[in-house]
Amino acid sequence: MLRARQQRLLGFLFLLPALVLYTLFVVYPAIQAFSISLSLWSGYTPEKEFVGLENYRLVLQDSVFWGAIKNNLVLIAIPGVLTLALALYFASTLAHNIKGAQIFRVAYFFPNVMSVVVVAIMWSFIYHPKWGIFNGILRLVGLGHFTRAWLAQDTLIPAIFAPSIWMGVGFYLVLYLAAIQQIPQELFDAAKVDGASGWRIFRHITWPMVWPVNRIAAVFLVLGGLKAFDFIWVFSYGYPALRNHTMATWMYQKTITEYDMGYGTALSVVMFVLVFVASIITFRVASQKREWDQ
Amino acid sequence: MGPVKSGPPLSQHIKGFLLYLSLVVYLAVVVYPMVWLLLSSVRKSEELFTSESPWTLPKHLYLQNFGKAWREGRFSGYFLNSVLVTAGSLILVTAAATMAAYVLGRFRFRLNRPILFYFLAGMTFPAQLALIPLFFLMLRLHLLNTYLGLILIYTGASLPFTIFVLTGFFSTLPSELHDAAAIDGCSEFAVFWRIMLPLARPGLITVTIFNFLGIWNEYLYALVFITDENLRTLPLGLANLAINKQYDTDLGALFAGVVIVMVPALIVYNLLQRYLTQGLQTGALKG
Repeated sequence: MLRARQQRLLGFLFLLPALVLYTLFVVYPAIQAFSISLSLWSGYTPEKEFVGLENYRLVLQDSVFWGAIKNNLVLIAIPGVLTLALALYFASTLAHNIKGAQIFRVAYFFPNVMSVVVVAIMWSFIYHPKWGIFNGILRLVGLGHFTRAWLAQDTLIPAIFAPSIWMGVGFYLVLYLAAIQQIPQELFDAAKVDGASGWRIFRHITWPMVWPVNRIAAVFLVLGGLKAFDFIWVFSYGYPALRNHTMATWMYQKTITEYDMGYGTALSVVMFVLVFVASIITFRVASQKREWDQ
Repeated sequence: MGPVKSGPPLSQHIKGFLLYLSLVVYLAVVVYPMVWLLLSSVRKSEELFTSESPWTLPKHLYLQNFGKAWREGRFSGYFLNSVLVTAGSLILVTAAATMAAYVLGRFRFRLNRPILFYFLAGMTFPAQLALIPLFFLMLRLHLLNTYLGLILIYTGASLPFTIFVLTGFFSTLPSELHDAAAIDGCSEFAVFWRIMLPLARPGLITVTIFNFLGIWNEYLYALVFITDENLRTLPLGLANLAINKQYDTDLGALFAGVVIVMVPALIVYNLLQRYLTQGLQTGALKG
C-alpha cells in the first residue's frame, strides 16, 4: 500500500513539470491562436474586434495565399522526388560492401546537421553571378550564356531545389539503408545466380522492401515542405516578391511586418489544419507498417 | 560491388566503376561547397571581390577574418548566447521529458494514454500556429529578449518529440529490474535514478543530439523573440549579417562567421553520429 502511494506521488511529481511547461508555452498559445483568428487586431491595443470567420474568408480569397500553397506544393514535390531518388540510388549502392561505404554515408549526412541559415548563405554564394561555383560550372561546360543571378525573384523558387536536395539526401539515405540492410544477402545472391539484371533485382527485391520507408519519407517531406520558410527568407533578404511567398513567409509578413494579427493567425490555423491532416496520414502509415516489420 | 548482371567481366568492371564514380562525384558535390567556404574564410575579402573564377586557391592564409568576425562581427557574443540558450534548453527539456516519459512508459494508470496523446499532439503544431499568441504571452511575462524566454519556448517545442522517443525507450526496459529493486527496499525514486536512468542512456543521448542540432540551428523563433542585438543567437546573427548585406564591406568575416556556426554541429555529429544514425534507423524500422 505504501508502495502504491509512493508510486502515485512520484508519478504526479514527475509529470508535473512537463505538463506545466507544455501547456503554458505550447497548448495555451495554440488555443489562443483560434480566438485571435476570429478578430481584427493590430496587436497594439488590448481590445480585439470580433469579426467571426471574416479572416478565413479573406484567406480563401487571397491570391497570394493560393500562390503560396502552390509554392509549398512545388517545394514538396520537385525537390522531394529528386531527393528520394538520389537517396535510394546511393543507399542501394552503399548496401553492398562498397569500399569506403562508411565514409560516403557519414559525409553525405553532413549537410543535414547544418543550420538552414548556414546552408542558405552558403548557396547564395554558390549562386553568386560572378564568382559562384554554379555559374563557374556552367562556364566550364560551355553553357556560359545561361549564367545569371539565380537568386533574382524570377528564379528564386527553383533555386531552392538544389540546396533542399543537397541537405536531404543523406538523411533519407540512412533510412533507406536501414531497410535495405534488413534484406537477407542470400536473396540478392540467389537472384544474381538466376541471372536477374540489376534493374530486375531492384524492381522485385529492393523496391518492395523499401516501400514503407517511401511512405514515411513522403510524410516527412510533406510536413517539412508545408512549413518552408528559411531558404526563401534568406535568399530574398526577407523580401520575397508576392508570387514567391510560402504559407510561412506570408504569415510572417502579415503579422510581424504588417501587424494584421487576425489575418495572419487565421493563415497559421489553416497551415495547422493542413499539417494536422498530413500528420494523421503519418500515423496511419506507421501502423500499417507493422505487418512488414513482423 | 552493386548488383550486376553476370556477363563478360569487362562490362561488370565498367558498371562497378560507374557506380563508384557516381558515389565519388556526389561526395564532391557535398564536400566541395564546404571546402570552398573554409578556403573563403581564410582569404582576404579583396581577393574574393577581384577574382573572376571560383576555382582559385587563396594566395595567402588570412586568419584575421576569424578575429574580425569574433570581435567586430560580434560573433563572440552570439556564440555565448547560443551556448547558454542551447545548454539551458537541453537541460530543461531533457529533465522534464525524462521524468514524464518514465511515468508514461512504465506506470499503468487510467490517464496514461490520454496524457501521452496530449503530448504527442504537439508534434503536429507548426511553429507558426502559436507564434503570435506566444509573442504576447512573452510580452506579458516580460520574457521577450531574454535567455529564459527563448529557453522556455525551445523547451516547449522540443517536449513532444523528446517524450515520444523516451516513452518508447522506457517501455522496453524489463520490469523484473524494477520489482527486484523494490523488494530490496529501493525507494521509487532510487529505482528511477539508480537503475532505470542509466539503462536509458543510449536513448537519452540520441534525443539530446537531435535536440541539440534542432536548437543550435534554429532560426524562426529566435528571429521573432530576440530583437536585442546583444542577445542574438548564432543563426540569427549570421542571417542578419547576410540579409542586411553588411558583408558587402567584409566578406571574409562573414565566411568566418559561417564556419563558426557550422563547426560545433559538425563536431557533435562526428563524435556521436553512431547514436544519431542508429536512432534514426530503429525509428524508421519500428515506425
